[in-house]
Amino acid sequence: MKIKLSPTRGLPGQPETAISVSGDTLTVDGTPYDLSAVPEGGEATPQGDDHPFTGTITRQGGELYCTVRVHLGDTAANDQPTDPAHWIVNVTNGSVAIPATRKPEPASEDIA
Amino acid sequence: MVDKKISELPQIIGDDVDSSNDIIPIVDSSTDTTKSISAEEFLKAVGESGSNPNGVYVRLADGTQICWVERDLGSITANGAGTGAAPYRTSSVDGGWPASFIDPPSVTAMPKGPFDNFSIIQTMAFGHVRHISAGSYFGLAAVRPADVSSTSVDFKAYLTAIGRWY
Repeated sequence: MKIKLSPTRGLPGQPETAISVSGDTLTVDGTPYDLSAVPEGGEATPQGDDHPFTGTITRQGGELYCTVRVHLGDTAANDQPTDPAHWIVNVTNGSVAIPATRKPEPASEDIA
Repeated sequence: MVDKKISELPQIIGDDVDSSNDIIPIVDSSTDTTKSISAEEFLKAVGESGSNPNGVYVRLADGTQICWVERDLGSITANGAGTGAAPYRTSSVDGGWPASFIDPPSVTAMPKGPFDNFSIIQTMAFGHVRHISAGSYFGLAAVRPADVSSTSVDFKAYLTAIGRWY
């Protein structure tokens, strides 16, 4: 599954979006979305706004393509890469690592 | 939030900003005195700003959030027939705000065609957004008034969203 991530700075304290893939099922923050019904060469348009998708979901060459909104958590840097290619991930199974730039770790204070 | 008159707010003295040591001089109008604050203190007042593929945002310390978004919409004649019932319009696009709001923001959508080689009539359009939520916008398109032109022109859209982040 080829997923284009659409990063949004989350509200303070909001957990970062968790995404995983198992075959044709995409799970976002614990909610599974079975995309197996999307036919080869076809597309599906999610209805309403109670879903994490942006735009249409397509299948080409057997592979699913979709854009998913992700909330970046408090550890993410304010300024993120703006090249859309940076945010495309290809996952067949397992959790998706969100390629966000992170804030530097605070320097530990020396204790005398 | 503490209510203050504009005259009571500190004013930045832009020409005197000393970037070498991150010290910003301001005038405190309530006491009519000049003092210096660090860049860090100044940024605390601004809150936070950032950017990502969805656009640019700023979060002000008073809870106001502003987002700026630029989108390519393609040809104005991609859909429709140039009639009142079916005006020419670009394809609709969805997207997320660069930063989440706590409630749906107030949005303006300004479509813009190319400046050169096209007339005012050919680049005349208004913006339409079908639905707005705290995290996203849906169905953004540029729509040309009926019967003004059938020329294909590529449009961009500039969104400004103002709302609150706490």
